Amino acid sequence: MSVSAGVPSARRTLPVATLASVRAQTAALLREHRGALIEVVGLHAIAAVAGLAAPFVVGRLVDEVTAGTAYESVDRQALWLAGAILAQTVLVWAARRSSFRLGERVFAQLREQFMTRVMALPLSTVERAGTGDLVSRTTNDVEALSHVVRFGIPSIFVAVVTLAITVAAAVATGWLVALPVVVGVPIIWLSTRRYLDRKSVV
Amino acid sequence: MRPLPYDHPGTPVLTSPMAFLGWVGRRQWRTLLGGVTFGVIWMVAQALIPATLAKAIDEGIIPGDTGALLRWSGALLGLAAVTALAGAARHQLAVANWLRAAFRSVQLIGWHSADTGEALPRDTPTGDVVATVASDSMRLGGAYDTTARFAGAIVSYIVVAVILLRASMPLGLLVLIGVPVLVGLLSFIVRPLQRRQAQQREESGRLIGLGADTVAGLRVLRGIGGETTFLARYAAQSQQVREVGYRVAGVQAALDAAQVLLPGIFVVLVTWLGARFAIDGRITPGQLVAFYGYSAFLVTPLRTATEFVDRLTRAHIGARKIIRVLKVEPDHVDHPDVVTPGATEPPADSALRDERSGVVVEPGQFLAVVSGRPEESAALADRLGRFGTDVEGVTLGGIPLTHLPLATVRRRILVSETDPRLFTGVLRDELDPWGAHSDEEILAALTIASGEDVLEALADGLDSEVEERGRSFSGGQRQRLALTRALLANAPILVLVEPTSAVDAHTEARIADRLATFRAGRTTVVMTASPLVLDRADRVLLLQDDAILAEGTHHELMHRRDGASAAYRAVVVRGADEEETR
Repeated sequence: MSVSAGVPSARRTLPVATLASVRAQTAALLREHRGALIEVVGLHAIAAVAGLAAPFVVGRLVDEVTAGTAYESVDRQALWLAGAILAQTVLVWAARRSSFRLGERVFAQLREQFMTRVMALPLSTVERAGTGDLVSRTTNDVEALSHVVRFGIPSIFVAVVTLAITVAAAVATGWLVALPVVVGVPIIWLSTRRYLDRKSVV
Repeated sequence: MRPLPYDHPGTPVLTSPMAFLGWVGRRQWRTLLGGVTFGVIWMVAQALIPATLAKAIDEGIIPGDTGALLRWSGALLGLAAVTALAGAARHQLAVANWLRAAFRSVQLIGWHSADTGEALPRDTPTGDVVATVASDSMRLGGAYDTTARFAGAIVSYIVVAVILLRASMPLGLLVLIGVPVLVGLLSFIVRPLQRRQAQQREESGRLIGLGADTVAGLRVLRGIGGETTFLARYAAQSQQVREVGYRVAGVQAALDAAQVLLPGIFVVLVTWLGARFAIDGRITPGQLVAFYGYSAFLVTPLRTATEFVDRLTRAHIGARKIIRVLKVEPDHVDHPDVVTPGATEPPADSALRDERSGVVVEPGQFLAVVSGRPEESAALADRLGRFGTDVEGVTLGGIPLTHLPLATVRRRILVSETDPRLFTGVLRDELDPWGAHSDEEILAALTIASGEDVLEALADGLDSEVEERGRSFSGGQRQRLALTRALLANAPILVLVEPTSAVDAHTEARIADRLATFRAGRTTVVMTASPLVLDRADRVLLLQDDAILAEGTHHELMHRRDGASAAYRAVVVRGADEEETR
């Protein structure tokens, strides 16, 4: 009769990092990939600016049509619009491509680093943690992180740039126009808070 | 809304995947209808926004009519409020639709696998059954999730069509035909993307396998110093995954860019033509804004429609797999023309008889069955308990087991296999699943199985958690816990298959003694070749080629001088030798 595993110890997974060490690790990661990150964010920002050209041109068209204008002017505006769309297409392509690639790089780096460290851990720690915990760390957890790199960071910057230009355009048009843009902020703030509070319970 | 899980998931229609999907839909028609209603309100409210904006411009801003502007602005505010509220309700109902459908099929599979028992794993790989619960049921739910948005998309497309065609026939047609063409074009990029994604999944699956192997085999790797070699292999595969990921990145970026370019070209076309029409006075400036808005808006309902088709396809595939599992027939069903519930119950002191081998299990006896081939006695145990497909010829009190209700058979005869499965949960519940016994009774049964030491080693005693398949226990510990569980069921006829094969000789002797005392007066059959157990039995049979070769007590058979008892001794002594080496 085997005498192993006399005590079915509660499964002890590997520890989860503290917030401080997560911050430090993230900062180090950001520093390491600073160049690529600036490229990604920059491209996304310019793409967002190009994306705002369409509503701007349509606004000008309406103004011109209302004031009375000729075909030539309308054609010229349409060309501007086409140009902006082409520029946005190229920029979006470049921006997405570089952020996806950065994501893959970070993904690979993290899982390789993780595996190297696991190999150095005491055998008992690894075996106690179980295959499931370790596998989910190299897949789900790293995937979640790289998702942030691929989609999270770019979309935050796109949102910020879009928001800034929209507010600027609204203010330039007239402060009364800018007001409704701000009206929604408390509602969004409150509902986001509520969502996050509830989500953290689950 | 009724809480999940359902009391009873119902009897599904299994004729075709569509019929099954329809059946699931009818079970939850209320939430489906609710979702569709709010989905339509939500989407139509959004569809009316550009038209309302056009009115505000044409009737309010351009003529400088403040009253009209305020009215139309109020209408916009109203539409926004309706969109928000209906959107929230729609989302909630969509999630309910998804979960209800998914959990109904999960429950169906759960009930059915309990009903079919061993017929299911024999017919379908366990992994496939798990997949029907983990992924196919969720996919199935996905189709019901999208119904609300899909209904909204259809209705809003019609609403927009009417608005646009009334404003301008050529521009309206351009938008209504152009947008579907656009969405169709996008699917050309989606296909290569999916192909490359599949490739990436495959590579990363390989990587995961490599990682899991290491963790499982780290002990060996350490022993032979293979860590560096392994790490190099892992890094190479990791880079391979990155390489494929780079290729996916290119296509994915192209798809994202196409989603800007194609609608963009379209917006340019509509705005340009619209502006020209507006100069001619064929449409108003407000309508120009509306056309611009619609050329962007219509992408949403069309994407929803494509998504619905996609989800429905997945749900269809999922339904087909689920049906395959649900169609597996259980080995044993009570045929109504053969079985009359309760009426034919044999008396308590009935003998259990296997016609094929001639084995008769007398009531109240401790019978031991020995066979040179353990699978032969295991097959007998299966027959005696009406398990498996080969169940003819076994009678209880003269009545064939197949003519008795299955519930009666299960209540009166309990078969405990040689490698019984322990389940996850609190140890107490695993030993006494019906909660019929006090802790003292459980401990008493555990003592009979000589499992006191198992409990002593546990920090929380009977409150300890049993891990997956009882993995944290040794084979011998598992066997004794399973024996405890079988004893606690208090079945009138207990059939044990090699119950002590994984314990040492001292423990085995102890168990044999206590078992005989505990089961005194009740019927017990033990399939074994262990002399320690055989010695305690009232009667011993040697089974060979489905026939009784020798019969008597262990003592008699060990000392009789004939060929049959010599064969008995050969089997038993071989068993004893294995005992020594264990």
